[in-house]
Amino acid sequence: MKQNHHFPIPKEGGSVDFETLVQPHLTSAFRVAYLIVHDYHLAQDAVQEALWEAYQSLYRYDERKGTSFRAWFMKIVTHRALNVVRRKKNTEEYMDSIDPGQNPLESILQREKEQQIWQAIQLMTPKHRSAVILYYYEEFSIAEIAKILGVFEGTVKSRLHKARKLIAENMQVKQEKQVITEMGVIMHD
Amino acid sequence: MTNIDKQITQTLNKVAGELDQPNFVMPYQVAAYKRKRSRLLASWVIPVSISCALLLTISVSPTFAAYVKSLFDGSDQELQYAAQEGFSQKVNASVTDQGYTVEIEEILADPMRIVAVYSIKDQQKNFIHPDKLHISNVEVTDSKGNIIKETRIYGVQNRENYGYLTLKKPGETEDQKLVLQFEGNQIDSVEGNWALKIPFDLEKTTKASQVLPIDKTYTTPQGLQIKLNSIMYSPTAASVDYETKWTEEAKKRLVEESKQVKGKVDSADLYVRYDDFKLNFHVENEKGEKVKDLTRALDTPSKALGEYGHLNRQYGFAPLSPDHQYTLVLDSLVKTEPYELGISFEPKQLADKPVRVDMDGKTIEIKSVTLDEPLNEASPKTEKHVTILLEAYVKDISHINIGDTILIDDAHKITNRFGWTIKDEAGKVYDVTGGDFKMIGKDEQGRNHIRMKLQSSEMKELPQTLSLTSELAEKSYDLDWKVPLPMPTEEK
Repeated sequence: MKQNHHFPIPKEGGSVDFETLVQPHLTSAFRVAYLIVHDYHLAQDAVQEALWEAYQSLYRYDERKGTSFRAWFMKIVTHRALNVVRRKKNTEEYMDSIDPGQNPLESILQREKEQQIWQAIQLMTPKHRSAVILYYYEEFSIAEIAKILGVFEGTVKSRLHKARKLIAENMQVKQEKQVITEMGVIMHD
Repeated sequence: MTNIDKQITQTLNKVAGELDQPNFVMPYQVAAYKRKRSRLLASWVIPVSISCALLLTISVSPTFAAYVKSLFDGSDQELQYAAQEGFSQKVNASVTDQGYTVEIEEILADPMRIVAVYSIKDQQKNFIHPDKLHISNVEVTDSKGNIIKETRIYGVQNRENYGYLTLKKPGETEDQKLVLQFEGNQIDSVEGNWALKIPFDLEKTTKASQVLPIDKTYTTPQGLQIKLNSIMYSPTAASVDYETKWTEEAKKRLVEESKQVKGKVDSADLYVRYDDFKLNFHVENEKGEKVKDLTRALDTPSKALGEYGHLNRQYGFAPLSPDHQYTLVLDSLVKTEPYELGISFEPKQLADKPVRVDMDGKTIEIKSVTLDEPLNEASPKTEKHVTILLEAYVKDISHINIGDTILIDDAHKITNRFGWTIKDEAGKVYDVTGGDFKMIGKDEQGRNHIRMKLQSSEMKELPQTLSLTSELAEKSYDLDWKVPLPMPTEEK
């Protein structure tokens, strides 16, 4: 039996298949989805749906357009995660349903400040939350986040600004709130 | 970065870093299996006129040029490779009725499975989504017209324009020349007859397949003997054939376990769970990289070789590269066992806070008791059933059975139910009529965090006190048995 093409694990230099492209980004995709959705299984669903979408529209991805595969895939994941949130309930009901005190991950956030930050992120609207996660957790630039979310760069900046303000308010640290207002958003790029 | 920027990043990293990543199914791995309903509906199927069926000759596509146009290009990776090797057979057989044309375009058949690609088009040649076709009959016959039983169960995976019909391995016959019969009786809401007969050949793929002996035996600490018989390599998959048997000591233990769990019918004969176990395997190369699991895609049923859990099973995975060394690893044994988890509470207590009980390293918490939509299929959605939401933190337990129904007597339809028992203060027992199970993740003590809903349609008003007791759970035992796999040779 000739088996030259029967590789379950792609060889280096061979034609790159979908799994090879996507595998390195799966962990962070799931984490981003979880941070947006706050539900393990719904986040899993969002990423699974994103995999389908990415697989079916892979022909549309063109590296020459200057977008990395990571950013392209993360765009699909973010939108799928936001769809999941929308599908689940409308935003207000969804926010009401979040009970940060019941989150099992709460216990690992030992420091009070971390708990307050996480609580504030959970209570934000999904569009602010996704900007925060893509910026602070995924470390995308403002320009990349704008492409991912399909908004202007200024919108990303204002969402991040508002998000930081909400976090600061939640932490009830007047001094830090003032610093944020003065400094605005610091861009990665 | 300001201090708060750092703190936000740190917080998100900490939260996300604690998450266990779930398994994802690569899109080409998914086979949304539709279990064959038409076995039961066979008598309703309109007889298909043979005259509208087409009998066609097949041209095998041996060249790469032919592969480029293969419809398996958008399918599972293993099928793509097999098509690339020239194992796909171009068919292009079509039948038109009621303005719709059903066409089988390609078949890929080897000793592991048969996959046929079909499409539906309207009069304007527009593709109709393949899930619009109601398949009324699928079967494979040998050259004498005998139906091959294994192929009666099939799966359908629908993509945008094409349906991929997968049938199980035709191991029942030695015949290499077979005929696929494919019939549909409805497209969208239009009834009609779409029947095709497609001859195909297994000769080439059979020649390219090998069976190699393994002959290794292992007994788990739980007393399950596992004998690896052989490995089969075919162009689209590989599969390890193995047998299981309980030791005499383990059999006695299983009987004792069953005595602890009687179910709802005390007088019923003891039901011993000899067959209620699952073995989790994986195959990895010398670098520890895992090979894709195809057990679900191949869906080979276990065969009873005798009583008391003496079974023959297969573990399926993707074809292996000759450039690596591979090892079969037995990761765990999951076994259904008696598992008691109990809690008593007054529903009115829940108004203030959840009721929580910690015992023997297990924690159970009742979150709420509400009236919700039925979670079972049988009840009308307009009804409201009492729904108890509970969470449990338990070690090594991968599933707690909500209800497990064992048919005792087929003729008299007596069933014995196992699972959760709901009792009120007067000792009245309410049957669990619906439920939901979710694995949330792990808690800080490494225990599995489980969320469950239990419903009973029998409870018309809330009792003062409710007690819940579980009866069965699936317990996972870690194992680490490794067996190097013999690799196929170029010459048979």
